[in-house]
Amino acid sequence: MDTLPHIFGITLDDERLVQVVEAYRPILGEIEKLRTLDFKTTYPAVHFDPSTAYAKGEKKQ
Amino acid sequence: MNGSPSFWPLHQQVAAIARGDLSARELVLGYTERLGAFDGTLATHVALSPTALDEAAAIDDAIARGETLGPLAGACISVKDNYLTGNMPTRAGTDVDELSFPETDSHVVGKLRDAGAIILGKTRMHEFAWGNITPPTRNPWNTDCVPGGSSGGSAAAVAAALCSSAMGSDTGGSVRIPATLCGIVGLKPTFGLIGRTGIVPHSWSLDHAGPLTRCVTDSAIILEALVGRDVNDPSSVNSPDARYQPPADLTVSGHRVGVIRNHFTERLSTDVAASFSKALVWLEQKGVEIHEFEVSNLDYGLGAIFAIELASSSAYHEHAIQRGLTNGFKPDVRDLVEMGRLVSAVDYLHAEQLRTELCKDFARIFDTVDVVISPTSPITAWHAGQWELEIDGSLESVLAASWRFTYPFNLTGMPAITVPAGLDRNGLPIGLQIAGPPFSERKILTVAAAFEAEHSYAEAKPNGFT
Repeated sequence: MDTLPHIFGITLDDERLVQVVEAYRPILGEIEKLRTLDFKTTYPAVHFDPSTAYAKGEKKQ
Repeated sequence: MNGSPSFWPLHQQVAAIARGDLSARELVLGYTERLGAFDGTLATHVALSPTALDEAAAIDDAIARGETLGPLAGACISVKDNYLTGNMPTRAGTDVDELSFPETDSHVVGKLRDAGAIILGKTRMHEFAWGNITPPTRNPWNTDCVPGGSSGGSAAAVAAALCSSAMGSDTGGSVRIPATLCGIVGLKPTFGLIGRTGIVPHSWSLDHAGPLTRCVTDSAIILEALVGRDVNDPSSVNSPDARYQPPADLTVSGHRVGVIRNHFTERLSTDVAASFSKALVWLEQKGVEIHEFEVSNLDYGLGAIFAIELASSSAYHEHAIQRGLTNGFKPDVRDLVEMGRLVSAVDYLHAEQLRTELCKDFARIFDTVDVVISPTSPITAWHAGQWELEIDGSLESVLAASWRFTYPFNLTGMPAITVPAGLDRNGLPIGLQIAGPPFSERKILTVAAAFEAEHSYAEAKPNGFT
């Protein structure tokens, strides 16, 4: 179990991680509701456009 | 127009400047004087432009030469402190010195300047747009109360007539919530309609730029100046409309308006509920058809927006977290920025799937109606330092309550506007939210303008700042 923070890329020390997890708990309750939905046929609202990098435009800031 | 030009709506200011009846220099000096008098109390601005008077003088000279200037010529517009500016520093609300931002104009600031606006200053924001309090800014309607956030400085400044209008950003309601709490108009356009290059990101797929104004027409005029493709913002789209100003004939008769009975009308404060009922009665009296709907997927919306916001914000701040710089963030913001790593990729994608389903739900609603309406916030401004209040018999966090009705339109990318809809028993502003399908800005602006024209709510001004 002590490797989980490493796996998740969490760089917070143990004491701080406990505080953050405590603050996260009510939000996790909302996210857990999402896990009850069956979304097999729903495409996520993310868009990948392979042509974007080829578009002529101004330099990125 | 009577009274000080500082209080005039932006569109009347620019018309007077174009006619030569008002000088841009006079307008800048008026706002500078008011900021000196009132911003010690309200704390709306974090920086003032060192070049505003010179820009105003150049506009006055050009008008004297008979030149035709842009549609915002001489308007004094302040921008939220997450908009990059070439002549003022950007801090995005943070005090962490190690974090710095380029001193160059953002896309929006460039468009405003092209339209002739004077960027008056930078307005205070909740740190990295992660909250709806905006300390230490205070609400002009009651300086014991918060202005809302995260564009709280913009809203309080417009309400107290410390600038012509202001720009904000809206990731879950950050234009509309403070606009409502401060008794002004706030517009979140369709996702992608206003380019965001040079706005410090909070959450890439939820962030919107939008104006905060003293009337609906001002929001329309500013929107007209800001639309157009931003080639460096992958979400930016060309505007399907060139004009957004409502027509002279503001009839709403024959419009079909939707009310979503679950979520959007639940757990309202008594006075907000009464205000919303009055708005519905007014619409029916105007010959509007009211249709009612239920959207069960809204029960999952809060988890979805949190998953997306938290993950996105932590991704943006990842290196600051690794370097320990988030230790310097305000405690509430630090918690949110550091917890994004706890959101799994699977949860994130489920959230994006829910967005697809919500968009389909609303598309079905708009087969039947033109717009949907709701209160903008179930509560009015709360006292600084207050974290919970009783709403409809149960205790709720003010932060959770205040964005309940706004965040669904960030998830769906739909345009939404708030207009003043009265005052509560304590004299604090209430807002009415009007939303429509993507790119229906003209329609929601027209309904908002019709509501505004037949009510005097927008004319009410906070005491103590005249």
